[in-house]
Amino acid sequence: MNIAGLTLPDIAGLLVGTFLTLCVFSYLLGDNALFRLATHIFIGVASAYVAVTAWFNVIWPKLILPVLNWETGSISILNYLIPLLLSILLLFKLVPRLSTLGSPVMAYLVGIGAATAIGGGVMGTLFPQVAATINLFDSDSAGGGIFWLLIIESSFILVGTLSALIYFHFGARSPHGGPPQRAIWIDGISNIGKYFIAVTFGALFAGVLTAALTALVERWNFILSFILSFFSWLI
Amino acid sequence: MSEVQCSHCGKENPPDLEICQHCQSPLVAPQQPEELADVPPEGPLSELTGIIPIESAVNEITIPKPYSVKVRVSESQRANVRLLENLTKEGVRPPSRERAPGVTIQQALRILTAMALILAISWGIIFDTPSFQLPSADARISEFSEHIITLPESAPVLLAFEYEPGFSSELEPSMTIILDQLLSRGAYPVLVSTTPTGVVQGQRAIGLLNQKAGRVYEAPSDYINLGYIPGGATGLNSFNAGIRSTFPLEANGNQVWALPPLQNVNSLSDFNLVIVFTDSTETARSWIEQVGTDLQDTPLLMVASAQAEPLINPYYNSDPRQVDGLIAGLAGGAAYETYTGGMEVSRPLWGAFNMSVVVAAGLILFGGLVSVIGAAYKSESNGPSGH
Repeated sequence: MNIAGLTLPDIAGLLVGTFLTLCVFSYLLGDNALFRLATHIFIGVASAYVAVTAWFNVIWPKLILPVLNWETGSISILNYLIPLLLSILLLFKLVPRLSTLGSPVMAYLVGIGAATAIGGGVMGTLFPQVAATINLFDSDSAGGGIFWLLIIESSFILVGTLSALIYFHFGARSPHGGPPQRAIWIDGISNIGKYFIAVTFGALFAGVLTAALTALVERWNFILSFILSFFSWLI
Repeated sequence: MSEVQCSHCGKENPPDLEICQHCQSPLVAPQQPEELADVPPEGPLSELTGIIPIESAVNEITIPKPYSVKVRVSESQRANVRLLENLTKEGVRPPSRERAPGVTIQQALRILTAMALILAISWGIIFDTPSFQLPSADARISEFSEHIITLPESAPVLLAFEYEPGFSSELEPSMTIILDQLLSRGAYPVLVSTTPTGVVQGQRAIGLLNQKAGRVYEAPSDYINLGYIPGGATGLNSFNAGIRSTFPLEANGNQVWALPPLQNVNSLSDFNLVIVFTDSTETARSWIEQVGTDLQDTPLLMVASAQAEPLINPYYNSDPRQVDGLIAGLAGGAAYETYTGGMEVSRPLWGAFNMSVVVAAGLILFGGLVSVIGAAYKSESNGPSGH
């Protein structure tokens, strides 16, 4: 970073960035006015940015401009008028007395969202991943290698998958009127699954920690570089 | 006594039952003709026949049997419930405006941890530690690069910027190198995002490349930023179903699909490559589930944050592959930098990053040891009887 070569807006940006980063770091000392100032600015800027993006990337080019530029013989104007009408109806959700007018649109959104998620989950994750677990034992698709090593590795993954799935089976019966209990074999397998799940959580935690440390390193590098270059520029 | 017939299912039941043992309907004992003929001896209903005396109904009212509503739980389940209660209590407690006098142990620990990390990071930044060399590239990295360097000239490439600004430090090293590889080979990147901030992240990535590599890549001659796809997974599904109808016009009203590199692009499978830069498992899954299944021969590559890697890995390691290439975190970016041997993007952060990881691991280990010793000391001081 060389301050001498920067323009005034660049320097202003650096100063604001450094100040706001230090404000966020001040949370180490507990909740304080500087931290709250930074979070309020962040929320305000983020909300404004989302509103501007929605207008310039969605509402104007995809809803209003096509209606204004519509020509006879091109795509039916209903393709734009129906979404426009539904959008207006959705706004009625803001008025408690008229909110029922927006309910069909909301129901449509929820239905479409659920159908997309379920369809995608089944066809894009569930079936392919089940097939992948089965294919683990296919030595041809595994690309050769030592056969017994392949079997051990595949069996390990299969045991992990099945035992983790069985861990989430909570069906129980009450033998002789006693407290509900899971079947002994389900209990045994779910105990194995518990360790696989623990390892998965460990990997996820390590990933989150690594991501957070990278962000901290980049921010501290930014502040340190700014301070060092500022003093070298002064001297 | 004779058996009672259920008025609901018609089956016989023992006389002492109040509920049918077959269909669980309430049982009514058969009324005797003489009972129906009872005449109340006195009172306002004295002359009426065929009524049920009120005394019998009142006399039958009894206190209902107490049924236990206690859940039978084991000791370990009880312990888990207590733990959850404590956690939720911590979570919903409103912040106290009254400051405790002095510094609490928790505050002191938090400051000490932060100081240890910041000192380690400063050390790594100021004294570029030579022992932390950039990681070497493995087969995963070379496979990823192979997809890019084999692209034909003017090949349209779809780039999805699906990350928040907080994760840019992790993704920018690999992203800058990939963009440089694409643009220097004459490929035509098309930028999209399903997150509002992704739109500006894509623009920033091009600006960063121009600044670092000293080049001037401009839209729409070198690339195009289509912008934001609203609706999350549903929007992505719609984008996959009809890219031209999802983006009929550019944000400034220009015709996008008349541009020479995009004239033959009618569906996502017409792109030569799709690369997703993401910080979240949800967005990665949306791309795999909504788009990946229809891409046919077009490879789907991912550059992911380290926090999303564990859950994207199964899609990369599956057979057949659902993700054709994966680079994750700063470490992945550093390995990609070693492999391509181009710009130094992750190098300035690499030493500090490693120092911080070592210190964080040490702190976790130290904290664990202190907890174990503390627990052992506590149980010893309580004595073998637990008092």
